[in-house]
Amino acid sequence: MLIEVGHFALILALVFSFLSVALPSTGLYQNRIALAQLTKPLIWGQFFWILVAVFILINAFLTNDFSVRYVAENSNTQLPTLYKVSALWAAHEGSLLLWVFILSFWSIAVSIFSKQMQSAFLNQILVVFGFLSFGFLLFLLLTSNPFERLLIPPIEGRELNPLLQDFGLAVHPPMLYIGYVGLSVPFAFVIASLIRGQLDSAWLQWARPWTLIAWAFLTIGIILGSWWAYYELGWGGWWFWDPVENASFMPWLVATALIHSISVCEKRGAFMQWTVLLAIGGFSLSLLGTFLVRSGVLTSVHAFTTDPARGLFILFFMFIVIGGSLGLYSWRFNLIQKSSRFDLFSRETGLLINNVLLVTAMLSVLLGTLYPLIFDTLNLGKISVGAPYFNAVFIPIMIPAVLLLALVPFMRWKKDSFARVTSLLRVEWIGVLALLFVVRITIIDNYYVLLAFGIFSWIVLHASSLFTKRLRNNTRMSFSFLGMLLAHIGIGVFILGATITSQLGIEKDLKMNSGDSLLIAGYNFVFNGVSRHEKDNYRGFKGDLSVFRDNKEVVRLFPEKRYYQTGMPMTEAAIDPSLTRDLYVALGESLGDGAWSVRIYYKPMIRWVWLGGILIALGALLSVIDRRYKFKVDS
Amino acid sequence: MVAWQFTLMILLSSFLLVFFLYRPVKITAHDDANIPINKMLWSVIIVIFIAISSLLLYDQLKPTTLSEKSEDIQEFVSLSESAISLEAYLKNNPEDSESWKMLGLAKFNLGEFSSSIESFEKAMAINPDDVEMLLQYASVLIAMQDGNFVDKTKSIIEKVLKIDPQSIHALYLSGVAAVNQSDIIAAKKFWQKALYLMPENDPDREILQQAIKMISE
Repeated sequence: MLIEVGHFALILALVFSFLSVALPSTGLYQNRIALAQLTKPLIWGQFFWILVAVFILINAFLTNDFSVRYVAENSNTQLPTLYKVSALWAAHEGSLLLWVFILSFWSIAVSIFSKQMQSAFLNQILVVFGFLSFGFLLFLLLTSNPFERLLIPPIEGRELNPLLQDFGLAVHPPMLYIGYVGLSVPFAFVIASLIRGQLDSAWLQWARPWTLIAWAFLTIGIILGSWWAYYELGWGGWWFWDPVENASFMPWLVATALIHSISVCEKRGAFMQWTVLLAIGGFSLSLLGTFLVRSGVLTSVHAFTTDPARGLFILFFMFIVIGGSLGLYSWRFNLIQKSSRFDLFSRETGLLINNVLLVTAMLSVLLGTLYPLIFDTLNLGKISVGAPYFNAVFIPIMIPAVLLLALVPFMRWKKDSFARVTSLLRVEWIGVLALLFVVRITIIDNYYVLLAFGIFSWIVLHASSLFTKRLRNNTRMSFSFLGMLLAHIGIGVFILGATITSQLGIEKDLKMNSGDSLLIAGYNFVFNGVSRHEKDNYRGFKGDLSVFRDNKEVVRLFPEKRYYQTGMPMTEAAIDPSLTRDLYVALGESLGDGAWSVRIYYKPMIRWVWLGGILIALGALLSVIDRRYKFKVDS
Repeated sequence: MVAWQFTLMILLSSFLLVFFLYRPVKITAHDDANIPINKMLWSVIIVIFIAISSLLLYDQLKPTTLSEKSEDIQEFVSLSESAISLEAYLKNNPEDSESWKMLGLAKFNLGEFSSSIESFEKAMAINPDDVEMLLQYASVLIAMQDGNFVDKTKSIIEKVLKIDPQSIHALYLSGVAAVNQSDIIAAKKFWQKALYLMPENDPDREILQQAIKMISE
């Protein structure tokens, strides 16, 4: 009867979330502090009951309780323990449970680390969290209950989607959700400020570290997804402009704009209205992403009609949250602190342009993601918007943005002159041109790669210059400053890696018999044949390839073709990774007479794509520990 | 029964909130004023609210699609209401085996297992050859025994197979019972027959095929 306890725990969490809105609101508006102070125990109680539900569902997976429909559909006795735990978020119901758990976790974190905050303001923030939790718990219980029982339990469960039986994907969703849901923190801060009419910049000092943490996790989540797609899907790609990917990328772009905008607000008191809108926009895009992914609308518009309850609920909730927030925004518009004045050439202008570019880039992705859906809904036929559109629209918008990101830290607040900045950075600019010239003459003549190298050296040289100037002037290096440098360099590293791998990568699809070989980029791939292979919950074939360079064996690669219980074939690529290049082999189908189709890739500098992402996330986390943030627990 | 667990959970929740309600109020310089509240009254309101709302919600949100067969129970009427009206109806119509069967299912879903068994027994006494009812009764008994087969369950399944030797459901359950007794050969026989009789597009074919494969290994 543990399952019923789990179900009841979720109901108690729902009751707690309702009370965490009703009681403190009554307390706050009637000056009954005893009621207002109940927010913390209420969100703790809510967190506790959600935690109980999560543990019970994990226990059901670990004990193979197939009387639970969700367990029977996503796990079986042969599944390795790690994937039994990660099966919790393998499908809709469990993913949503993870959503509410993380949302609750964020609210707890805010309550712990914001004890120096004015108590009424903190209580108001927690009320907003309570409202969000209430919406999602209601959604979970009404349309997506993970504790549904089967009257006749099967003796064996179904196979967990083999694509999900992988470490990368086991950790990718929680990271992504922490980022996604983390955007609820700046949202809650903004809404609480709007409700209380306290729209000065004081709340920003509290909101920025939370936004940075959420942004860092969102970055890690996206990187993990990209890494997983690269080695698991067997196509060697790392980003497909897939609608689900876009759903996570759009909040990331807005969150990037938000952390910069908050910074301007915090230091100069400018962009307050813009910042408020970005905070609302970031979380709204998280909700939109949830709607797109969870309603089934992405696979097909018609899939939405097959399960209208889920889609309609999120749509309705999204309407309340976004509509309510924008309504509140317009109501309190006059109270929002007006921007202080700044010149056309100033750091504020630079950051504003970058913000606008980021939001424009987000809108271009949004358009490309929603366009096929709108087209389909209007019965105008089916179209697909793919990489050519996104590359053609997104990249040109982002080039000026990445050039500006290196330049803006050199500009002065309020008023500056182009002549001053030029004289300051003359050496760096000449350095970039000189480096480009040397690379063009000695290494490569591909213009895309040269552009990427130019941007990379532009960012790195500017960052180094900023660092050495501070060092020379004996100015204190704050964690926030170092974090910014690291994140900006991460962007440069990413751009260089992404461009080189897409421009200079080599891909060969071929039929290979034992003893056949292929020379790619100086590497000789020799096919030694295929053997049968069996492990835990799958069977399949294992290829064997020796890779030689200058007649010396560099590595032996064993790509696999796996067949899981469902009969679903899976390609497990074999990869020899290094910072300068990846050698990537995927085993295709047997073509008879001992011949196999084999896909071989040479991927130069692909690791830089994820290294860049890691640097960005580390930069954000480094900024969080800056001492200027009142990020302390009460002693 | 889950009643005591639920009671404990409600008590724990109530205690947490009442404990914090009775803690001294911290007034800071930012607070405009503080209007004291009647803590006893608020405690009572909170406790009653938690107890009633959680139990009502549980009753309303409890999944009603536990099995394909239980869909006859009206979706829009809560289980407890349904059980009450069925009991009232059966007082005047004690010979309606269909209603006893529905009451048995409703009581099972409500966690009232002994009442559920009583209802099924009455349904069986009135209409001993109702295959659908017998299978539901057997399934309820299996679920109550955490997947184990007691003698009563086995005899019901055997009876179903005598009435309808081609009942896929009964063949499946017989296979499970055989596995429980480590009689792999018999289990395989039952499941292969069930698989043979099952329509090609039945989604459960896959489960059965996997089960056969598993015991064959």
